[in-house]
Amino acid sequence: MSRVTAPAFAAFPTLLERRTTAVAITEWALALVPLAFFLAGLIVPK
Amino acid sequence: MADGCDRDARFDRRRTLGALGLLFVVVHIGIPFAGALAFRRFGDAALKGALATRTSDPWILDALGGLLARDGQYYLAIASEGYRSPKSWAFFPLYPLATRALGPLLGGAPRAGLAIALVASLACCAMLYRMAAAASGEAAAARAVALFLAFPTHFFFSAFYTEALFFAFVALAMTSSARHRWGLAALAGALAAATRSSGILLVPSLAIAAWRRGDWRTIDRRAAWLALVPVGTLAFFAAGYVATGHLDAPLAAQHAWARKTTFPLLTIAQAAQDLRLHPFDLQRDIDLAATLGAFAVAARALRRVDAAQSVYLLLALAMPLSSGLVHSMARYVAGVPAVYLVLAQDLSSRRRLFPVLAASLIAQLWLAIRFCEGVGIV
Repeated sequence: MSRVTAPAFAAFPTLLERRTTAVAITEWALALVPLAFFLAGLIVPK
Repeated sequence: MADGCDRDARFDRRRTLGALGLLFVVVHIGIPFAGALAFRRFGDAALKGALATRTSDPWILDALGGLLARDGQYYLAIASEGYRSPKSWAFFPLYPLATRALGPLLGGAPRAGLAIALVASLACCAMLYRMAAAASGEAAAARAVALFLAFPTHFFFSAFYTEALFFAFVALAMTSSARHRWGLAALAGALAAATRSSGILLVPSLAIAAWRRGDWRTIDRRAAWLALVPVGTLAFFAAGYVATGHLDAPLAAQHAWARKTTFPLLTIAQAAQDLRLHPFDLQRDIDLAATLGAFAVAARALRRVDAAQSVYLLLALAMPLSSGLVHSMARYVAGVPAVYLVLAQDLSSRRRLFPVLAASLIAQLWLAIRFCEGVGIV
């Protein structure tokens, strides 16, 4: 087994860390809101 | 993290690197070879004619010319004649300048451009491996590089495009900042900013990451080096002013390409409206799928990859979508390291990874052949 892991790099924090309700809502919103705009575009005539 | 470490226990580095090397050869030699056959047999006559006006290199005219299709024509024109048309100011200068500088050594600008793309692609693989290994272990790093090489629009990294050089600079900026080498990160960022408009996005992404590392309270003062990144962008705008008398020549060129400022989500809705009217448009359909998929990846990135990577991914999606078109989004998504870091974490079992790799490679082969015929996506 070999590693090139640099501990400093691995220790860097992610943008959001704690798994709170607000974070979960942000994650789902980021994935679903663009999809909602896509579906709205399909439904609403040009 | 635990997943990466656990898998590292049975990680055979030599065998894995050999497999990645083989994949690199398949993607960067095999697929262009298939593209060359397609170009010879079915290549667009207008593309062949345009190439003949700029080069007499038989390797380009009879084989590899397909790799210089679409935007490659603009880069080649800039390399040989400079910025002649208003539309050409949409293309940043570092890559065409590098092909021009290395052309005499490598047998002409077209060959030099393809050689730069090949070498830069190798550097991209090495830096992506290093980034992913540091965050999630070497098994995840190998998966990230495999996904990078197999990505359906990865063939642009072999083409006369800025993709490979730009990705290499972005990856170098990120790995350097992660090691607190802010001077090198700023230099790589400035070079990225002189290669593509989106290089400027490294400023907010690395700055926010530096701030986040101080838990939103302190920021490493050496991050001030990042102020050098916009020099790459400003130099291009200054050159535009000298050549045309207009400081906004690169921005004005966006109008010539039918791009106009739009709220990013509305761009998605407008593309969906077009889809309803005309369902079968390969370029638009692939770009729309890539856009929606990339937002799902961005959502997963928030808690899974370094803050710099997440912020860069979000901005790299928002910036082109702000221009009112989803055009080329599939290519832009392929140029964001976070995409592979997230996918490598999510596709940790071979049963899920291998079918994805196989399907991606087949899609890439087909798209590359279409591109080399001069009728593919851009």
